[in-house]
Amino acid sequence: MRGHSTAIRGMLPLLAFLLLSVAASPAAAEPVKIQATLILASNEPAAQDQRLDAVEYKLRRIFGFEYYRHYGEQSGIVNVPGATTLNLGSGYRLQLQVSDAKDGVRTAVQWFRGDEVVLNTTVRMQRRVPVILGGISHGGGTLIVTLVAE
Amino acid sequence: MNCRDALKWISMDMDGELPERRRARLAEHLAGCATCRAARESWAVAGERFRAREIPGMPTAEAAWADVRRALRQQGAREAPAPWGTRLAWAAATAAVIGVVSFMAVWRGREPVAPEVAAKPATEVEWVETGLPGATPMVYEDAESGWVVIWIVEANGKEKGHAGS
Repeated sequence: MRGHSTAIRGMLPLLAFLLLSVAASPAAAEPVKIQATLILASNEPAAQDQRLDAVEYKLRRIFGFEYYRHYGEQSGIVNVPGATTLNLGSGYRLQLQVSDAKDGVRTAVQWFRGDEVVLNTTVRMQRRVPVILGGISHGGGTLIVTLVAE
Repeated sequence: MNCRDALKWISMDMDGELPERRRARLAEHLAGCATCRAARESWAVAGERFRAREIPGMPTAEAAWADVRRALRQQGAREAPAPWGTRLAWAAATAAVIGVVSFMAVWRGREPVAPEVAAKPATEVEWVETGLPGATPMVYEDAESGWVVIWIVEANGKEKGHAGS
């Protein structure tokens, strides 16, 4: 019995060290969910799309287009650091590389049309605050991508 | 040394990229060329004024974005293409200026802002480029929503094609 207690006492410093090590180690960064939505903005009448309810009035105020059509969307969960590709439809895709998630989600974004890179940027996104990419003429309107990190 | 090389070297010198051995040759050329001396003076003054944000008529981000919006509003309208060219040329030029200003603001760190604004973290665009020929990227932050817009102002010809059809 006495030998057993001695053994436990001997292990205490080791246990304390392990606990302190775990407490002191940096927490693993949580994966980040990134959602991208491809929207065609134009002045040609289009039915209202409920999927755009949360953003349409703001887009209308910022851009001035009358109508916004949902063209495609995809979301992905990315480890930090990590990368993913979001296929938006109509030949467009985003390649995202998240490198850091402290003080915003630092993401390198490449917007492709087929094999052509139309936009290349690095942005530190705030969670749940959309970043808008756009300006590509398409089908009588202009393409807009909303990018949201959560 | 001809004036074309001299102007290139003046630009490099102002950026601190001109090797010492070339600087002596440039000084020699400047000593005998009033035109290049005037160009250097002019560029130096413009650089100082740009750094001090004193360039008269320099568009604000809001003004530049308003012009892009005006151009967008008319997209699809059946209008003569001439105003489009003018508007988009202006938009592209201002976009380039705003792009540079945005880049420099990011590069140098954010401008001092009111405490209540500073307390709220903002989206930051570190850099942006477009692979489309003749297009210019523009970065605009909508003050009301805090949303950042990274916009590609396409080359005039392409935009005109859509606008006029």
